[in-house]
Amino acid sequence: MNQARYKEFDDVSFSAFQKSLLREKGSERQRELLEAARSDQAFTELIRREIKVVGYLEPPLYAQTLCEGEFKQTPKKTEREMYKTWRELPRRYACRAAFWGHLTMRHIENGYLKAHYLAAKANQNGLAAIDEALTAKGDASAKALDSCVRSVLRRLSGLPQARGNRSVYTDCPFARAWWREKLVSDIAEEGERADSIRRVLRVNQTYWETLIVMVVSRNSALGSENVLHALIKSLADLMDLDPQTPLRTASRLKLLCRSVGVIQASRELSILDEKELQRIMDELVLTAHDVVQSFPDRKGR
Amino acid sequence: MPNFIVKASAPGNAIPSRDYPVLEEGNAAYPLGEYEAVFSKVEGGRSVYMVQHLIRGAPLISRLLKDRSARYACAISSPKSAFRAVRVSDQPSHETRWNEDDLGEPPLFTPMILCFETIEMTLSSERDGVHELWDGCRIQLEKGSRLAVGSVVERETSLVDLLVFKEDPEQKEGSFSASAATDPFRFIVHLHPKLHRYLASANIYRKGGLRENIMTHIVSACFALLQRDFSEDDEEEGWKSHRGLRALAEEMANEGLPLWTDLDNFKPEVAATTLFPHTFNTDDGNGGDE
Repeated sequence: MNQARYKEFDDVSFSAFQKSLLREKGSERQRELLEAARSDQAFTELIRREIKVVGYLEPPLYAQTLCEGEFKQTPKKTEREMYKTWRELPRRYACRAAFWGHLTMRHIENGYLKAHYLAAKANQNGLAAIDEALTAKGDASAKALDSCVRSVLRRLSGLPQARGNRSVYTDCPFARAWWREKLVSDIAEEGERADSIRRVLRVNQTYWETLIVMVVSRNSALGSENVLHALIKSLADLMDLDPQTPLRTASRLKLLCRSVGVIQASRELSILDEKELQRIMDELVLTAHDVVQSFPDRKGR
Repeated sequence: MPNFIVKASAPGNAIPSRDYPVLEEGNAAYPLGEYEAVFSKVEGGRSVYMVQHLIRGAPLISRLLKDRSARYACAISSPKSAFRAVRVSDQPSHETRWNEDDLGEPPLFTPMILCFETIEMTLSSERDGVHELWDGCRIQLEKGSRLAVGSVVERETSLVDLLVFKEDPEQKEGSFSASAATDPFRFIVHLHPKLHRYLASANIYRKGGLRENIMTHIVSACFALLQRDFSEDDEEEGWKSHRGLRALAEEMANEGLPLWTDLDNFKPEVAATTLFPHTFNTDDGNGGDE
């Protein structure tokens, strides 16, 4: 691959940093990271000390101070603005934990983000989560420290070595905003249609993750952009017509994506013209919707 | 990287449940059928391969290609960056290009022959080369139907593909050290500048040269690193999560070598000298002495 153009963490030192943190649950090393994460300065100093930076182009910062909730569950409008800031970014960087890790750290250094936001849980703010992990006693201590460290690493950059390709797309808020809004911008002009597409991509985190797993898997039919776009458009049309369609559940979405895969196994969908491809996707989506409506008690097995 | 070849022929007697005959590995639809795709580098091209499709013993597919009802194709993909594109050509030998900015890893290739028209026909084993089970069957091919499919090809299948050499002035003269990067997996070999220059300039084709033996030493160091840091293989974050290491494990299994996870039997130096044996010229000085 080419040498880094945009600034990002050096692969070797970043890999060694993550590996040293994940090696042993409850280690002093994990404790050290969480203690540092209580202070923006201590956290960024620790990272600067241990991870080299490569590349020469500084990507622009999203120059807005974010509150914890906004960072953790980024609103539509904020995601859209973030994507505008980084829209020139090539995929090659947008899929890399080393790139997003460095960018997230730069936001902390510049005061747009607090380091402890990285540790936040669904119902607990980051500082409280860190304190709880650091003060846990007995058998629970190692597990609490490990879980909190993993949260920090996931939000910082994604953690592909633990969660595969999907992690960057789903766990790091900046990267998630980029990929989600890239899809919106590639599929529709800004306006009502774009909002319909956003509704599909933002049903909930599990739904987004289910879709992404299908996209970043080897040999997936949904790796082809035109196929993925056609499927999302069909789902958007359906959700406009029936906002409560059973296809809003992740398990149904998974089955639907698999049925696209079954067709793709014997027919290369990506070479079809736009109209034909859309017809096939509409038919698949409507059939799946009707089948579920006809047999509502069937679970998405 | 040398040329590589993908083959799909039809040994065995399985006929998977397809609506029409497909020439693919493990499918006896064309008993004498062979589909081969040969990938070769294009001189001076960084992001391009030449693919040559060869088809034999499948008269139906050959006829559709001749009529231009079917075309040659190759999918290029990088799951990591959610990228997949299919390049199509009328010619059996065609370029497959990509843009490095689209890929998060070395590309995967899937060669194919695709139908481009809707065609209905009744099959005949004698005329079409299909298995007798298809005799008299009425089939419909559509645009996009896969007539022949090769298996997915990875550019990285050996340890050498995973090596990245870096000049490192902090190394002592004549020294190197090995470390790992994991996104994607690479062995990073830090070399003193003189050693770096020597490896870059030495004739890589000369058998028995010093370069080859230094390479064997480097490979041995990389195996030691794997044994030390990548022996865990739990489902999510062990060595199996790295595509390059899975390919290396296959290569080692093919050579009958224990994996680095087998702490009792794996020896880095044995693995390195089995895959890359020390070579020496028996005519030079001490080389051939008993």
